[in-house]
Amino acid sequence: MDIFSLPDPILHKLMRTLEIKDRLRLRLTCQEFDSFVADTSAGWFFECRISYDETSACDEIRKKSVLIKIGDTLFKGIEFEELDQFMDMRSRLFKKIAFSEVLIELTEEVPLTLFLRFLQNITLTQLHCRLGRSS
Amino acid sequence: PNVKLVTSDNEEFVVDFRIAKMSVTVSRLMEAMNMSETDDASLLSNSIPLPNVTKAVMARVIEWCEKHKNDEPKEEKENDKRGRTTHVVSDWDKEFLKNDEFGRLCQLMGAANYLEIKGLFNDISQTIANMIHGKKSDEIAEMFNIHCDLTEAEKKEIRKKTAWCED
Repeated sequence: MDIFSLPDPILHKLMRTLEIKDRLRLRLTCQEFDSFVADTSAGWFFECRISYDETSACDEIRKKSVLIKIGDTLFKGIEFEELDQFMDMRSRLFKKIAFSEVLIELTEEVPLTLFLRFLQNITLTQLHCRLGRSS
Repeated sequence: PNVKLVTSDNEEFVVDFRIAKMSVTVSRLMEAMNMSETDDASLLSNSIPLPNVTKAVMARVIEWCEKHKNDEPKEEKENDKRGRTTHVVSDWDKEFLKNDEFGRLCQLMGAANYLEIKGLFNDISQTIANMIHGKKSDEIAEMFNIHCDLTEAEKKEIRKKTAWCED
């Protein structure tokens, strides 16, 4: 039986149970899945976190790249200049996605402009700001 | 009390009222036909037609329902309604589904969707997600018998754009 013989509503539900990395691999199987993945909702994740890449040993990389965590999936070493590419990937990965919490650590390395770009086309129901100061 | 269910290939299944009620679709049909647990005559004189389910698939659905008829109803959280959830497939359910080839899983999934038996649908959906999980794209294509029509250049472009989240 061909997986595409399943009615679209069932395939949409199935897409929601897949993890982000599995969605990406599915895109590489054929044109139909490539566009189907992009057209379906990735569903709900508890957390999205954007922060500077503290895992990088190199100071230079750390200063110009961010780390984005969606659920359990980590997107590492995204350089600011590559953000457009990341945004493009975001639109190819899912039509919709929902988070309970989006945490963004603003630092000198992660400027407010990046935060605003990432939030393009995202509906926020509540916005909490917490200001801190490193000692 | 028992309820009669008739499949697309005209096979009649007589099931316990509790099992029939596990399907939202059957439940609604019984209500529309004024069939009630306390009215034996209404149950005896009516049967529920299920034109989208075959005898073979119905037998599997009933087997699953028999096992789960005493389960506590699961409370649906607000976030579950919105989308992605991780469903845990029990050991019994894994065993129940493990010998089904993909085509049969799809038929069972279609029936669970039509009959609106959420637990069974989630079990199958998660089982298929688990089959896909961690596999390379060519392994997924082979498993689902998909002919890859992407050119090498297109694949390269997708890989380039998704390089950040590769292992």
